[in-house]
Amino acid sequence: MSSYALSFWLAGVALEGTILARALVVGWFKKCPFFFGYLASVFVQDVFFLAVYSFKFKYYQPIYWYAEFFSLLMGCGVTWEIFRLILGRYPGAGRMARNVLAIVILMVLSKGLVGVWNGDIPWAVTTVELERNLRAVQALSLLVLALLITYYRVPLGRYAKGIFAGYGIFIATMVMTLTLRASIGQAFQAVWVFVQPHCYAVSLGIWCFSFWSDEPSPVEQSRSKIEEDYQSFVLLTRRSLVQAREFLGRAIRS
Amino acid sequence: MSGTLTLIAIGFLLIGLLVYLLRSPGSEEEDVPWLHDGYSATPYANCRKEQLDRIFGCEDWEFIRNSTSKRVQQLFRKERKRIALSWLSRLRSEARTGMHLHVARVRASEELEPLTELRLAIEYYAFQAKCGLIAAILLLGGPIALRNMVGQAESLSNNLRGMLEAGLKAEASSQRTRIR
Repeated sequence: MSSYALSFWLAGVALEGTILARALVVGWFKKCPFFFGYLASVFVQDVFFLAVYSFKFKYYQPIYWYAEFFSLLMGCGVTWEIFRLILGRYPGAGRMARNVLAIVILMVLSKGLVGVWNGDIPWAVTTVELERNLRAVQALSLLVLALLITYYRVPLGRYAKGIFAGYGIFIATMVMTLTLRASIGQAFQAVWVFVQPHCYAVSLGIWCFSFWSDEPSPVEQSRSKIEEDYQSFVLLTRRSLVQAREFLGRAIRS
Repeated sequence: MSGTLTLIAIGFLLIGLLVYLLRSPGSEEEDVPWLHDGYSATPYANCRKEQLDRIFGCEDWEFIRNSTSKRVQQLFRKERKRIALSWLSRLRSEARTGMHLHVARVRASEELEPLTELRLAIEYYAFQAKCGLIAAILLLGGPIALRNMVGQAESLSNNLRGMLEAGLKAEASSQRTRIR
């Protein structure tokens, strides 16, 4: 391992340690157990891998993939936690997210099954492909969430924004690098080894930056008082849209 | 190959949206002033019919065309185009405000119906697209060109309808003859 790679690894461990120490001091572990559990597991893995890499290198690769799948499972919990953290106060938008997500996953699964049935797409035979597919499902979920946040203008607290952006960027870059690794093959390995830690460092940087303020967690903010009749809102909006359309039609016909 | 491209596109789209969210301001509860000050059900009340007739109508243009120089006519067309565009932009922004109000209100509602929401979103984006098309026509030719275009389209559709009706009549009469 080059001195640059080693120092990068150590810097990552230091950043993770800093975030975890702050989380312990402020008491965030109870509020976001999956996210900080995930970060703690990555921290332990990083330290452990450094020792394995340095002293027992032959075990590094098999252990790496086991650890990667453990992180993947923890990552599913983090995705669920991000949904809860952001849409917890907005049951309407949450219901919309669940519906859109169910449709998207159903579409992806049926497309994949049809592909496998026709023999166009092989089953995920390699660990890289399996991880890529599972990360892609997470990326799709986060994409749906980002679209709904943009459409419904859901206000994000600094922490929630930080967790979401950092984890989302990490997952997006993972999906891209794993896809290229699976499609190009060993030729991409050198690029992958270089790119992946840098992408993770960007996520760590975002987390570190967003957690370094005293803003109250969005989970603690008061629930919205807007609890009125949904149908009357729909009618009101539709009426105003129809009215605007009528004016437009009149402008064209005048 | 298409699967690879789709996954890379998903990655890029997610990164793009996250960067947009990171850059967008507002960590606090979004303040929507119109939520509290009695939002009117008729936000377009000011867009009166007279205004519309004046901006898109042909009376003023007929008068200018018959009694002034080319230079004044040019100036008039330019000004009328600006007024029409500004009217259109106000209509769009009022529709946008209405939609923003809607999403700000219903995002917390437990009764939210995904299908109704989808239909509303389609209606809204269709309206915005129509506005965009009209704005493009206005930009290219001004309100007078828009009116001429609509007139031509109407006469074209009348001709088409006439031809179809004639064709249907001919078909019906030939069927009657065969039955006899």
